[in-house]
Amino acid sequence: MRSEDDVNQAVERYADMVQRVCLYHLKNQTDTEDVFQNVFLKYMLHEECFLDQEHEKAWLLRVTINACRDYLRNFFRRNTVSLDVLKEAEAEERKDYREVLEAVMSLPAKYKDAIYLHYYEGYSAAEIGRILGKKENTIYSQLSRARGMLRDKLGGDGFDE
Amino acid sequence: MTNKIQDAFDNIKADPRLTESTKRYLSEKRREKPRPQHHPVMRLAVSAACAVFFMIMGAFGYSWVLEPVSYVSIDVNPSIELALNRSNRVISAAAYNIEGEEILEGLSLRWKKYSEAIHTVIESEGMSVYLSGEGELVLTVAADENHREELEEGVSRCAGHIGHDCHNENADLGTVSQAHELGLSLGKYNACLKLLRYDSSITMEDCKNMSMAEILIRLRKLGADDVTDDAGTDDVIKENPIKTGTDGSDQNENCRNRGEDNTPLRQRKGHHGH
Repeated sequence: MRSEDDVNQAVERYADMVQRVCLYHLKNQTDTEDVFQNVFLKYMLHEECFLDQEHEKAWLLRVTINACRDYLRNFFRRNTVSLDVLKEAEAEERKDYREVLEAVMSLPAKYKDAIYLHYYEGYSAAEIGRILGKKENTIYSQLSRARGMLRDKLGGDGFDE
Repeated sequence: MTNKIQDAFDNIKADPRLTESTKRYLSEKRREKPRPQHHPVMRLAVSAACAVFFMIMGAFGYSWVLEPVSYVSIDVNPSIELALNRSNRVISAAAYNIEGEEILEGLSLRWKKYSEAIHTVIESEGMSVYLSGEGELVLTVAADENHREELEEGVSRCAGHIGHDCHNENADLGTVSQAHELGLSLGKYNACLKLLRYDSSITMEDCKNMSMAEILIRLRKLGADDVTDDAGTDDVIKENPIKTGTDGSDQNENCRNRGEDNTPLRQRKGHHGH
């Protein structure tokens, strides 16, 4: 089990990242809190050493994405998804940001991960492939389709590779 | 547009209350006593113990419900024997001659209390033919120590309530297997033993071929004042004064007997009282 200091530092360092991944998957603040706590519980119980901070971050991303998917697989959860988190958390945000977020959140789950990891976290297709356990070409293909969908929803040509 | 995605996600921050509550949650989890890790061998042993426990319980339940511990034999000419469990309920009913088999046909005796089963048999349409004339009904009980008193009293009461010429006998539980080996009901075997004590010229094979009524008549002729005396307690073995011997062959024609093997007819057909 990791030390309390280690865990608290990780919570501080990765809280926003975990929150974002939970947000675009779960779209619900209560569920987000459940998964958020479980992700860091797994981190606390994970005893293997990380090579560096990047390794640690990639591990947390993979764990968070998997935790969200597992959570959504639950039958009862599948039928109670709502977008209230946007209404609650984004009320104060600028309208255009909210429009972009809604467009990303409306994508299929596998495309959302590729878009977030590529455009926000700055990972290459090869790195995303390693995190998600997919082939690099699959990620390229997912990114391409996701860009097409976002273009349709938001318009404009700003989605370059 | 790429920047818009970055800006949009940049605006999402974890609520400080959530990070704090998560830290507290993890701190509490850390203090929780870890669940003891059971050794695989220990788990296997516990599973095996549970399996053995359920097997024992199953065997105990089986023996409680389905193991016969007492027998009540109903003999007129038809010979029917009820096997009872520890609750004195019928677990099987066996016919030891064709007449008995005809009576059992269509009767549902299984799980009935012995007294109710006796009445069901006695009051059945098939049995009324045998009890309408001079047919004498003998109820014979063989039970273990725990059930003997209750059953003997109960069957005695049954015999008293039945409006026919009826008497009850008590037999040793050990005679049940001997009777079955010879293909006889407990009641008929008990009567045969008694007849053999009074008439040494008669063999068990002869007796086996006689009807119950014939055995009782012979006993009376031989001076057995009380044909209901327990054979095991009868010290005096009387010789046959008129040497009727084994001349029952003619009379035996009226006594339709069971097959060559010693299996009860009804059981042999695979029918048990339901």
